Amino acid sequence: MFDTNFAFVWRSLRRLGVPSAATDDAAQEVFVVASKRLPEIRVGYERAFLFATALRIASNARRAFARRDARHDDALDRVVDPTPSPEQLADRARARELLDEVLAALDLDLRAVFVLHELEEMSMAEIATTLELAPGTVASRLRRARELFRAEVARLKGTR
Amino acid sequence: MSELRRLKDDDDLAGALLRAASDDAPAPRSRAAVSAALGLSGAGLGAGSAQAATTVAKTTTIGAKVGTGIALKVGAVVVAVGTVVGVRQITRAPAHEPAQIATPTRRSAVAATRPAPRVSTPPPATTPPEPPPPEPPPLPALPAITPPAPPAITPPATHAITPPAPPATPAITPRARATSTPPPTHSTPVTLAPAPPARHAAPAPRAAPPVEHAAAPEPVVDEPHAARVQSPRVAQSPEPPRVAQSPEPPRVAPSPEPPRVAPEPPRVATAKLPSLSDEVGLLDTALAALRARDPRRALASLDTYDARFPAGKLAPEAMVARIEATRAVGNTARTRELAAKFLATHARSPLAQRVRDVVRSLPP
Repeated sequence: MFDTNFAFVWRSLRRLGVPSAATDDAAQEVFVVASKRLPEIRVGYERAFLFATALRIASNARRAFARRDARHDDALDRVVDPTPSPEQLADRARARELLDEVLAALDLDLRAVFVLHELEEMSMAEIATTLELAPGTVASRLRRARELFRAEVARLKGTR
Repeated sequence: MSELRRLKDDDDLAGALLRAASDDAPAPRSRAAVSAALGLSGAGLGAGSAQAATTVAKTTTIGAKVGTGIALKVGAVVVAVGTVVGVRQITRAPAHEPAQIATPTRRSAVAATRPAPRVSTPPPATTPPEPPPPEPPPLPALPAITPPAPPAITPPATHAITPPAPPATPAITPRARATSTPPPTHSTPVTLAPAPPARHAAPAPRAAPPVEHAAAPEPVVDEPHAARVQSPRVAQSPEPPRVAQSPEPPRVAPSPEPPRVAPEPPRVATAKLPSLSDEVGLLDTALAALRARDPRRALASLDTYDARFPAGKLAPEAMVARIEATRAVGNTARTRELAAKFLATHARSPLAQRVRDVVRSLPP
């Protein structure tokens, strides 16, 4: 379970707003929870379980980070690769940073649906299963998330 | 349910942002660190080391921001050192605090779930059983995008948390051997040993300077600063692993023993540990020079590195740094040559993309 899903969990946590410096810890926490509750995890639903756990932990982590002295973490997050690496790499890192900025404008509920659909490329049905939501809810959340996302991106364009 | 086309297929800013994230993946070292902390990897991880690994995992992530591949491996090396040191605690930057608080619970949680032998073993010295893994874990580059279908996991997956143990920490090797070597070899050639006893008080908060410097995102890269960062680490880095290997404190006292010039083969395991931090130090100097736009100084450091560590653990990173420095001094032909050499042997390395990008950015 760990090997197959570590990257998925890690990515999900990142896109759900866990600061990069805390992602490893959060990922560890997800798997610890999973290991404790192994018997409850239905076969075939491992990923759904992990994502739900990641969502909860991300939500806690975000709260925790909001409480803590934000400046420090921001400082960490702002440090993009200072080595003179090729522009392309720098651009990508920057783009990810922007993406996270945009995603931060979305509620976690919307964000989860959005991330699973747009980044993990899950189908709506898969998302419904993963998040234990009605298909209609997934669709409406995705729609709202996309609207917000586009609006945020547009705002970003305007400000930069 | 009809599927919408995905935004990342759009040719606009939104699409571009999403595409940028599509290949975002944890560093292999992240995986190793977390897996180690969870007790999934190579046996012999003491309780303390799990904690160190977690803490360092964080450092690793921070490192990732600083200098992608190189800092990563630096972090990993630190994981290695941290693992060996075991009981050493890395209490420092506020960012580390949650790990400190959280890990004990987590570890006990893991222990509760799996009757794993290693989770509860206290100090590193007592756990030598693992046959030394010969190589630092190859850690396959992660599949960038995991298969979307959840049922990919087979029934035994329920127990899957336990078995796979690929990323055995390289450090285990040396430790296992080190503990079995009878004499308390003090491998450091120089060792000014600034107050080793204090470090012996195990979880002393000051145990970590090398770690911190190794991966801390130092945005300031002016030359004097780099030098400052560099020197203390090199000065004291060699000994923490060694100190940690000796379970009882009294052994520390006689540490400044100059006689050993070059470690002879059987002792390499012991000697290797300090050299890791030396490697990190040199590479760090080179990187700092690169950042300070002083590629010549970087190249000089890299020459020293190559001379001292012909088979260094960070050789690929050093090579990439050299490639970048060579490009920075404007030697296009040599850059191509080095890049080709690197790609020939490390085509699947996480650093390969970086090298390809360098090549692509070269003037025709």
